[in-house]
Amino acid sequence: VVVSFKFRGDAGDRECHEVLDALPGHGARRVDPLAPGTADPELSRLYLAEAGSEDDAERIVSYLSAAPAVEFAERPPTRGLR
Amino acid sequence: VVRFHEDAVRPHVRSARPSAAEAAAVPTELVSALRAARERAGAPGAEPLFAPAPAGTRGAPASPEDRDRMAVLASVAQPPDPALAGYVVLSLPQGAAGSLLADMQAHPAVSLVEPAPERWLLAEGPDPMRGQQWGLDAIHWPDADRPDAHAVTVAVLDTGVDQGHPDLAGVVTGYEHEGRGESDPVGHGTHVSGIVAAVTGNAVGISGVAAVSLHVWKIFPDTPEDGENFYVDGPTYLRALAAVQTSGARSLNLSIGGTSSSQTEQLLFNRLRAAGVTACAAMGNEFQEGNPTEYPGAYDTVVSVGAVAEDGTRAEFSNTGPHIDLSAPGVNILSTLPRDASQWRRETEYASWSGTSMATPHVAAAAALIAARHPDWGPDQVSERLRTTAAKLSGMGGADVTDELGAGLLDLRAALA
Repeated sequence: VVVSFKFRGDAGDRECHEVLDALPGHGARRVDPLAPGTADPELSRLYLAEAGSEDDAERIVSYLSAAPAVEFAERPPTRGLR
Repeated sequence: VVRFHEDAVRPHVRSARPSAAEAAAVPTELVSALRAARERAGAPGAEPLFAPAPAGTRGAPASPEDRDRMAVLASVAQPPDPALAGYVVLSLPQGAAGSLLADMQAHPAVSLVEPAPERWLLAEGPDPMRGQQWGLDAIHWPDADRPDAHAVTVAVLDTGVDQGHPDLAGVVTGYEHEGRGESDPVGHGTHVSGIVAAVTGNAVGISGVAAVSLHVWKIFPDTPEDGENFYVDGPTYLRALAAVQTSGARSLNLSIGGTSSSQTEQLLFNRLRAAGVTACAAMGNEFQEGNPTEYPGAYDTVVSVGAVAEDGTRAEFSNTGPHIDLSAPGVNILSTLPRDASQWRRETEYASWSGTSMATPHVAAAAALIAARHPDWGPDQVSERLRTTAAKLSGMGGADVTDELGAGLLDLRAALA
């Protein structure tokens, strides 16, 4: 169960680290950049947080959505074959 | 292939057709490199490569060492061309150690040791199933001035690909399936890949729309999540979209869809657009189930593709909406399938499938060809070209654009004119 989120462009490093450090307390098992090593400033602010359950994922989305440093947080979209 | 120094062999040649007696007089040391091959790798005796086989070895029993001597003598005594003197050939088992060849090369009488070159059939001729590909005719593929686009890459995010399929030989230059099997048990990705880039004119199967390279990301699991339907693995899908940005691909095929939009996904498509990638996605096949708006096709930065049938009408399943860009053949589309059946698919090698999934790769391939023709064009220009050159269909009632068919049917001839 995964949550994707993006830091605001004007969020400082300290603000971002505070959010990342707090995520395990909200149920995140691990947090990784979506595009590690990217030179794209927009993509470099995208992260994926892995949760252990649906409930944890909802808690993570709630926490991130309320964090001033976070632009958005959401579950990845469902996509099927066409 | 082993070549002996002519100077080392010539002193032992007595006649143009060496006899067994002449061969017996050849010093063992001269042919000891060949003996080493026999003893260490089980090779049979050598044969001259270019010169006629010596009479003594034609049908007559001869020891391997005698055959070596005769072959070496004959290779110098009667070469068809002086430049071809000294060549013999011997068969080594597959996997014979490279050190053996190096040791043979070190022999003072030997000037060259190398494996016979591997070459494979490059047959040319009509693709035998081409006549069943009505879609190529509908988009004026035969008459289009298609550029050689092997240097252009189309990214395909799908269920995987059978990259060993004979009609995809040499086409798949990148395949990312980390954490999953290499196979394509569903076959959807192999089908899409064949529509884009099946090798044309190789006397095998079908023709693809474009002679491009494919970089494939496997973003689906090998088993359906709910026992029936396959859904993308979310993190893998998002990471693949990010990776396409720096892959060098000029076009992206997404024969997938879903009803929820996503800020993360939309951002990734915005960045792909900025990076010069023309993303093409399916309109969806749920017209008769409520005709939902589907993403990623509905994002402004994605070329959304609907499906038409052979008679030029909208396929009954093809979703409609104001975000549709254009249409392409999507009913009974013949393309490649993995060579092996799976739990999820009985068909193999080739089959005709229907869906906006099949229409989309026609357009993704066309986008790649336009990019090859106009390397300085960005996605805005490529997608504009696709729309403005699309052929108007009777179902459009004279309108330039409709929610059912978009700007009309992909016209490759006009797009590449």
